Amino acid sequence: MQLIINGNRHDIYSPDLDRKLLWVLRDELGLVGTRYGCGVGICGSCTVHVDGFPTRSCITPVGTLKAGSAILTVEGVMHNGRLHPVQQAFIDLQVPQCGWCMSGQMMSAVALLEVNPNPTREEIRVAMRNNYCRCGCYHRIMLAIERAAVLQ
Amino acid sequence: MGGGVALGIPISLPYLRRSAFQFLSSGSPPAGVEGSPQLWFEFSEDNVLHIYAPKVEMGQGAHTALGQLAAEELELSWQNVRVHQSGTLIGPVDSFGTGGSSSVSGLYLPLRQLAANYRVMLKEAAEELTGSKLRLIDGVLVSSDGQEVTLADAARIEREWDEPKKDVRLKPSDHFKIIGKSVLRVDVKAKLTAEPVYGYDMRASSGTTYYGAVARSKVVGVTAKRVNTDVAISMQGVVRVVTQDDFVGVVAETRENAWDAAAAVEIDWDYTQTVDQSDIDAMLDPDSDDAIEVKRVGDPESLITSSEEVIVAEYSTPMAATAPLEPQSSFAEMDGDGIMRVRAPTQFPNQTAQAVARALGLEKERVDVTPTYLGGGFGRRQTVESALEAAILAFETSLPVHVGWTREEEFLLDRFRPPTKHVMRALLSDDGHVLALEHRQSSGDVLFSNFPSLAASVVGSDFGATRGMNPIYDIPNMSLYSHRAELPVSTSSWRGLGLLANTFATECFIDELAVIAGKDPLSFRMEHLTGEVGDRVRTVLEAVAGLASWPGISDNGSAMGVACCIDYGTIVAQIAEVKVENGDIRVTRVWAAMDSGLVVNPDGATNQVQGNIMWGIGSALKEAIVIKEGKPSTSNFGGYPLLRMDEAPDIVVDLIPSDRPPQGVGEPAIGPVPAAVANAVFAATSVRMRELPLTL
Repeated sequence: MQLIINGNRHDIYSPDLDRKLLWVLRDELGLVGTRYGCGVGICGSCTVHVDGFPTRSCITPVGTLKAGSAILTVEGVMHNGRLHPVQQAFIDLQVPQCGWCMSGQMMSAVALLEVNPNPTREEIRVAMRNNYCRCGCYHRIMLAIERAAVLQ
Repeated sequence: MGGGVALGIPISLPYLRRSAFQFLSSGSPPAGVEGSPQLWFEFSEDNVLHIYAPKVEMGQGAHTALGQLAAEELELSWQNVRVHQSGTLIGPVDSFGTGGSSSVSGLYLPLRQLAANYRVMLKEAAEELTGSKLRLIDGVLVSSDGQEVTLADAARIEREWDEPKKDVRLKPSDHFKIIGKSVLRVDVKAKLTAEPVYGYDMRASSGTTYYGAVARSKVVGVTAKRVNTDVAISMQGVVRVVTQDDFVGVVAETRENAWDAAAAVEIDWDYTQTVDQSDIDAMLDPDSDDAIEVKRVGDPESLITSSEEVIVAEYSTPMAATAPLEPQSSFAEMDGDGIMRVRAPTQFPNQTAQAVARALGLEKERVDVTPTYLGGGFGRRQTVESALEAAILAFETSLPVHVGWTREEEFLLDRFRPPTKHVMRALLSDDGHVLALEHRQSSGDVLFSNFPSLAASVVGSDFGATRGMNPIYDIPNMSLYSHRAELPVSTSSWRGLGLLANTFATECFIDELAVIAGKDPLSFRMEHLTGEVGDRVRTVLEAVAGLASWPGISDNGSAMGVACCIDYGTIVAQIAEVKVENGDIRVTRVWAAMDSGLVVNPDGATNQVQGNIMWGIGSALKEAIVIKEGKPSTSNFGGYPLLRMDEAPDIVVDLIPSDRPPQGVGEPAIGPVPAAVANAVFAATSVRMRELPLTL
């Protein structure tokens, strides 16, 4: 079957169809920006967009995706070499510590801002509650999302 | 046998132990880094300085801070500085490692000195070349008549390079242009633009990468009796199964093939020794006669045993997981020169290289470990087992192998924060001062799990486990005892080591004493501060009280609690505001004031305080591991939930200006958090909780 990943067509053959999307992205396609934290859909490090919806790639077998699904990963949020406002805001506020959760945080944030371009702090906290950050950068993540809302 | 130093002067072993405790609890850990300037610094032709740092970057900002130190003395603007990770074969060697909140404090003077000496070496070389006196301006050496030599050009001059015989004078701190500024950290952009900078991202430089996995038991502490790899070797994608004395590993074409095959190795395990939590609890014995005295002032025992008004309280903390969000993984390949090249997220690369060399029977010079960025360190990455596993598999198969642990392996094989029990005893004088204080602690190993047993008998108590016991208060009669519980589970370094547990016991107890004495907890603490250190602590307490508008009595069920600690020269005081509703404890706000000496990167330091507070709240309210039927009570985050964004408090951080040199920043702020929360819960509910996690 075919998937469109960051705008590029990829043919997926079995046995890769049984594999989780996360490992096909990372190990087969070399798109290592999507990260692995738990493998059971709790921590959110593996968040990508599937046809615009934030999805946990660590629990999504490729074969369960619709043929022709559009997958967006953190590698694809840049436009014409320019950083996405969310990325820019995360850099401006020096959000990350270890950074391992950050791709997933940003993908969740991008999805939030697409449906709610001006979220309140409470709305941000609720929308982002399923993305773990072990280093404890939550306050900065929230401020960066506020800033990204202004930047975009 | 009592120890004596070789001088022939009989110094008793207890004295040596107390001295060791005092030094280790208040002195700086070793930086242990050596090397000429040319090992650390390299200029590219575009006059950009490339620094090869032996300390690792795990999000704590070490690379950036070290870059700032060097850039300052070399008079460079920040955009012309890059910081790279040095490996163990070339570049400066770090015999200690990255931990103990010591990277910046330990290298503050040595690295600046190296850079300043290098500046003078380059200047002298350029002056000799041009025959003119030169001034260094923004990376370029300039003469009064307009000759220019870039530092990069000067570095390329062919000559005998000698380091200055006398150390060059360092820049006075009031001239700093980069130190003390929140410059953009060097790792931020890469981490936000999907660069392959982590252990889990490492792949073969060319050709196919193979994936490795290791057969494991489901419980801890058991040994393998019989191994059958027939099923595993025939499974999809499997290339080799490697069986050694206590190791069975699989190499396969995909990561999942390797995991599946490793799980299919049939092993008969010897289960006679499975561990249960009740075994562990029984071994924690704070009042044990085997406890070792680590500090004594005056004579607390006689006062306490002869009084009927002794105040006693017992505290305990459970085991906790380190849970860095990136599960460990390592990549290894033998290169064309017969060198085993390993990429691993290790806090102690030198030790990792030694372990690999030993395991493979190679000379040290045939192993290179170059750390990656770490997706969380927190003490767990002091030992990176996957580096050995990948190296063994790469060595046996001559293939490039990446071994990635699962989250389940991270929980099963974690080296937990040890469980602790504390018995606190005190006497108050008639006017409500602490007359005597005794802290008896029992803990599983922290640093002793890494020490040869001989060292334990000399040093006495595990100074990782006793970290944070030394009270900051002036108490005329005080004793501290530490009992070592040799537990049948793996415990070791967890952020702050013993600091969190010991500060919990001490700062909750001080609060209890304040209440019994009928005094405000903040004032009570202030009354017991004396001397120069006491003055600094007072300043920090006053700062945090001002931030929070202490005592902040509210009428909506919120209340405040205070706690403070000193750790590796850094003083932290925090006030937590909690709201208790329907038996649920919510930490709504935390204010923190910190005196960590001169702060190299204020935003970076603030990030560390914020992160430590989140860790502390996680331990205060959520995190606990118990052993059930020989294994940790959880195999994934479902049974060990971490703090979420909607549970995180608002945090205000005040970095107190100081003229002391940089002290530790990575860990100290974790200490007071659980006590501040527990004290706030008491203020809100009159319920005193003495066990973590706090549950109403």
